Amino acid sequence: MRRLPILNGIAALMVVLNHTVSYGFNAMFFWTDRYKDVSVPTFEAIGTLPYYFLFAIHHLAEFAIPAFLFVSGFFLAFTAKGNSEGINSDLLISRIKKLIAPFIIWSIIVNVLLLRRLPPTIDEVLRMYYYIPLIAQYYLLSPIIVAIAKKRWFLLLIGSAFLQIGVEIITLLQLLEIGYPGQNIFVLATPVWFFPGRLFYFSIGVLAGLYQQKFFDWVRKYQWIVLASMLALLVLSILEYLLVSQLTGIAWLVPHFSGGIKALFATSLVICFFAFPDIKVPFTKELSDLGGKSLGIYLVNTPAIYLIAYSMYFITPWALGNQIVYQSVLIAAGLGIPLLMMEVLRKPSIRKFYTFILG
Amino acid sequence: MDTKETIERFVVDELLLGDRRSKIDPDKSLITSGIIDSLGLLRLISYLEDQFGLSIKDVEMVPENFETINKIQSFVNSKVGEL
Repeated sequence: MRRLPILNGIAALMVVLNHTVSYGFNAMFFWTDRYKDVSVPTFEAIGTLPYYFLFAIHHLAEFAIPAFLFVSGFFLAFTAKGNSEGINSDLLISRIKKLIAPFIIWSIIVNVLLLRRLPPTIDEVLRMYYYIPLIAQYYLLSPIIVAIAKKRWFLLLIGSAFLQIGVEIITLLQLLEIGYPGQNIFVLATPVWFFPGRLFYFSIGVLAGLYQQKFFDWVRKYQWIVLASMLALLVLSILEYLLVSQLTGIAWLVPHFSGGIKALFATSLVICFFAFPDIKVPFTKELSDLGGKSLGIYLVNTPAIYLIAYSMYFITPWALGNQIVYQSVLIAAGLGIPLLMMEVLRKPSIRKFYTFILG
Repeated sequence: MDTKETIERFVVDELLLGDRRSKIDPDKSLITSGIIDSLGLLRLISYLEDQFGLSIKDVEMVPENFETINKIQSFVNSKVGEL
């Protein structure tokens, strides 16, 4: 249990990396003409060392949202333990209330101030910070989820996995242009911010929190199997990506398809984190501190990276072609600007705005 | 500083961002009021271990022990008594 804040800290770091790497790919494929005499988009960088480097980070960074959802599920189940009435509704309301103002403020900042547009659909409003509507739905559903977890844990495990992988299959069939009756409704009903798409991650957290001792004993007992499964799923998830990319003919698949096996890989990576308690994680204190600031980092890093990336596009286009320089600057901005903002907002004269702005 | 004050100071400094105007009812639930979240709870546990030289076992990490300032105080006192 003591590893939860460290896990959250690593996830916060991974959220930043996920975004910086996305801009790295952007510079590689769509902004190439800023530093090279080519027409864009160009995918000639696929297969190069910088590409594989970014790809590997992106693949690992995928575990950020699963880790956040696992920790949230764990804590909610923890509060319900030994409580026959389940989860306290005041707790749920206070958690959701804390998320609403920052979500509105940052959605406005990103959409109106940075992108200078009004999102045309509700989907686009919710998509930007999709973790917030997603976690709010899980909070609302948690009394049901915890009740099922208490009575039929296996049903929850299988049911949530089935739903989540089902959503990936819907996306996959759409990409492969394989039609079926009611396809449009299924596609419309499964946006990224809607609860079935990430339900498995939250449910695993609930189960781990509810059956804490059994869960930790189990992962430690089968630690080598857990590790081997994680490695096998890593390989399989890469093969899945390559296969789908080939079948769809889309060279740059990441923005379109998350991956069914990748979801299992991300889960196994989270579980693996608890399987080896004797291995000391470096920078424990720093990562735990970061974990406590994860919501603020999640909210602020997106506009921070956006601003710096676009500034570099205009001011230092040569840097877009050097991923070491580009990534270093973006990571520093994606992490440094949110942390700086948190420090500033802790000052007594403006402290009252902190919860409003950063949750 | 006694046990209760030490706990209150942590809650105010770390969980309420140092807002000393906030007066917390010692019987108010820190969990349901949203003052303490998952990570806040674990930070509190680490703080209590460091501050009072305790070793809190996983089985003792249950909501009943950390629900309110008074409950945390009772739990800490019982642990200190075991030392």
